[in-house]
Amino acid sequence: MQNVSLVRVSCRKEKEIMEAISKATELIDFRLEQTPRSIVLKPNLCYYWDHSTGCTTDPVFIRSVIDWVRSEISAAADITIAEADATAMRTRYAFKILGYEEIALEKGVRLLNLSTDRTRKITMNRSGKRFEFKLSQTLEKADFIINLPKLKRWSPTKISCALKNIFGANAFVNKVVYHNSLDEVIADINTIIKPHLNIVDGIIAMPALDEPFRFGVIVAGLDPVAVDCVVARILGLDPRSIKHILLSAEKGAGRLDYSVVGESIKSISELFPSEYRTSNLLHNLKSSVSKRFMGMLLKAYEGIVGQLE
Amino acid sequence: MVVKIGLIGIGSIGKFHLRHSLQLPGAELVAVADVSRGARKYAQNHGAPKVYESFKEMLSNEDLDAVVISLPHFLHCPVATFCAEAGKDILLEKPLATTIHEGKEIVEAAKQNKVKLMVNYHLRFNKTMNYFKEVIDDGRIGSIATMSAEWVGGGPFEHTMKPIPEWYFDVKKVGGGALIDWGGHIIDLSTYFFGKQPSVLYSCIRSRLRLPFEDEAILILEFNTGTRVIIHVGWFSQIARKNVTLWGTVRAISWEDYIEKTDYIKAFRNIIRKLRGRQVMPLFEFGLSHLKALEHFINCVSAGKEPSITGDDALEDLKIISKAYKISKRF
Repeated sequence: MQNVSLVRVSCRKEKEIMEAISKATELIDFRLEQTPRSIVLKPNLCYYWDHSTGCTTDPVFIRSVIDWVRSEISAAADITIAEADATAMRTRYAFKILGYEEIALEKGVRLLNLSTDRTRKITMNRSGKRFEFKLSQTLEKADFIINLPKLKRWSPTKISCALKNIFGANAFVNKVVYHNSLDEVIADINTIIKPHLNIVDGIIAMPALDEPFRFGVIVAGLDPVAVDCVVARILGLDPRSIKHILLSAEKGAGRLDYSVVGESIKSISELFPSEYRTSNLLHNLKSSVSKRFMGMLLKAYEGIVGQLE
Repeated sequence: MVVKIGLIGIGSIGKFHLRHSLQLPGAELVAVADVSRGARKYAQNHGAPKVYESFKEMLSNEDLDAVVISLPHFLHCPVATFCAEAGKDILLEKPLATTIHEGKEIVEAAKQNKVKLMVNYHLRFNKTMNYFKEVIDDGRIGSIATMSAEWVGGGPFEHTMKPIPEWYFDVKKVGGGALIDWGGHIIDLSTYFFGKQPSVLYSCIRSRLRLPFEDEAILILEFNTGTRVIIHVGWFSQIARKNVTLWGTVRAISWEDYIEKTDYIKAFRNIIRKLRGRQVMPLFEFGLSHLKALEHFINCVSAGKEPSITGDDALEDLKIISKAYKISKRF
């Protein structure tokens, strides 16, 4: 059974966040047998919207992680912040717009666009479907990978956290091609890219779709499946109802059983105003019904009249 | 007279012009030109009779009366001047150009070659804005002390399934940020409402995005009528919202109060129109005002009249924008 820690952080300041990270990693009894020389940090930079939207990993959180790495893991380690291009997002602009270029300069770390790195092509066959991934050599050769996802709801996979953030490390750009089999692909990639540590940025979380909330929580764990199970519970969801978590566990990317240390799930989930929990339930119900109905109407309209304008 | 038109550029707005030019009874779409293979394929699949990679080849091969140019801002000058020299009337997407110098070049080329030049500030063709113009001119809400206008959203950063075109990250190619792009619409609307040559009382811009152009601008214009216009535009918000409020000495009116909800009745009417072989109308105000603008241009070309937004008007708008940039405080 994997430990997953929950720690509260009262403000968005480097020092306080670093202390919370130290506490969260101590609680899971994080220890290294060998000091890594190359460390890759994988934030979630899914688009150009900044941390205040709850979409992307907070640059202040990244600064704290770097300070923690320098103090607790290795002062001399080569640290790389790595992200891959996505269908609509270009990493070089995301690094600039979201303040990561400033972090790199100040903290002496490297920024890497995984999509421009040397890559290895990996092909996987799953129930008759063929998926291709591109694995960055930097990521493959890294001594230590720290996964730094957000804590958020995301409609295609219900939640987007540790496992989904690793999907974003696939160097292949046009990721929209995976979206019909997203759960399977997330699970597959998590069997290839295995983070050594997951620290979730829940400083500003997204408890409902497109609804950021100043949450002030850090979640840490060694196992991305266990971390996602805890995050699902915090968001009021049963982890076993989330397909990519189940598939990842089945494929050996982690375990579904976990033990929570630090704050309890109940005390953390109560930080969200109750309307978020209700609105999630209602929203899911309404959106699935209305999406299907509107989709049918739209198809019929476009079939007769042409493009909606 | 049916106006034979060619479209240059089938990007996001070019697609609107493609659909509309196929619908308008006074227009005959002859061909489209775009350097992108994907855009040409889209045009072919959506009814374009001919497609070209080069607009120059299209101009030399086809017998066109007019062209509609929807290209990245930095291409407006070279392409529009070439078309003017080829004797084609021009509907050009806003802004006129990235600099005043280039704007003057386009206007001069149109005058020298005696072709019509209209810049597509389509808000002038918006139903509510036309009503506001009447209200202002008739004095129905008193005299207008102030107009406030807000247009904030994602702009080019709106999250779609496509990456933002590279040229949008190059300030020389865009000519600026939210001010020249969305602000230009409001500035043009203000000059439509209150007359020309306002003074720029205040301007401040900033870039939260750490890019070399502004993603937010606030400016105050003062017109000879005494009306002051407060403009706030931005590209920093995920969900777009826009509004125009006229603060009269009797009462205030706001665009938001007049925006028609796109309803099922409109959609149903379109289905009936389509089945009867009649022209389908856009369901949303944005599409409708583009359609009206193109229709106005086609009618002007057909009747030999000057369009209601000339190159000179757009050059005036560009001068106001340029002055706002010059005096702007960065915050």
